[in-house]
Amino acid sequence: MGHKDRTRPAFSMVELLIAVTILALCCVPVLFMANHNVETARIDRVRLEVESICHNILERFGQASDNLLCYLAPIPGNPSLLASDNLFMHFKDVYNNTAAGHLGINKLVTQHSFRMRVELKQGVTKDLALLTCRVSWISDRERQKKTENLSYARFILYDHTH
Amino acid sequence: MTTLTEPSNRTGIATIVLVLLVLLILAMMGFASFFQSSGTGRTYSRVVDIRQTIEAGESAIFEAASCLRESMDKSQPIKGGTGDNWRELICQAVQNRDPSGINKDRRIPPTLTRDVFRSEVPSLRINDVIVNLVGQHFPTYPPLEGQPMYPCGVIEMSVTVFGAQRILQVAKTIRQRRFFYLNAKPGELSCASAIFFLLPESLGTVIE
Repeated sequence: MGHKDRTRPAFSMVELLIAVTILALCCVPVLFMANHNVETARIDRVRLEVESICHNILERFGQASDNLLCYLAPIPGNPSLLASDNLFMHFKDVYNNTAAGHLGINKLVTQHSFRMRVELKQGVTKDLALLTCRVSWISDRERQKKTENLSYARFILYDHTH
Repeated sequence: MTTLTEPSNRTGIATIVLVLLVLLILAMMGFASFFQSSGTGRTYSRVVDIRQTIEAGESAIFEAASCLRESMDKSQPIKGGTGDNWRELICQAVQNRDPSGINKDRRIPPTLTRDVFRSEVPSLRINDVIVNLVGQHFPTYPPLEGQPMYPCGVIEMSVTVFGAQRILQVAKTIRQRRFFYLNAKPGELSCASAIFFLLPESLGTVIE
């Protein structure tokens, strides 16, 4: 009897089949999670690019000496508020950068309906203006489209006049 | 009579062990995925938070500079904060060659900045802007040709901003220094007639 037990294999075919089935089932959540993480990375990449563009607008035009006024037009009925839609259209060379790591403005506009509005509110105080960059885009996670919004603001300090 | 070494019992034990092992692996993968996702989200939020705190801090300093100029020009105290009349304070410091009267935790509340940034990020917290006179001197020499004003000193403004994230909260102190100029005759300084100029450009921004 003892001799018979020693010669028996450690696992029977049924045991092995169960083990293989369970291990295979383990791969299902792995695949799902991998896909989920890729989706998250893809959405975050668009958001980061959009944030970068919005922030760069403030960096580019956030000083009193910058020439932002060349690109803005007054809003009817509110002369202290100047605005421009899709300001990046004036700087195609800059924003069409499709180098590694960049989506490029064309992809953002065509695939994600990227929109931008830059506003300059003058006379907040005597020598202070408020520059605001608002952007919107559409993110699609698992075929569900959602409009996202983002806004950056910065005060601009002008020369000290008396 | 059956024993543990019989094939039917061994199959059951092996199956239970395997199931437990698989459940453990699944739990580990679940936690790993959760922590990865949570960690990535927090890192991303932290980056955005830092950017927002710097923007808010710089804007708060700009607003404080604007308030300071108004106080210098009109010789009136600033509303809120420590309510100082900066024209008198700076005049006294320049005349006495002593900034110790100024550097006493003098604060200017950035009310507009708070309104603007809290409309976007409600939990962002902006402290009052602290103003210090770093250095001052009273000019005793005539102005150089083409320079009608004298650099009279340097004002430092600093503000601490707390980010929106509650766990591992971001707290940044933004510090800027600016020259201020004085339009007065050499050797004479009358607080009533002196005209101060605070430059819009800073000497640099320090983020701590």
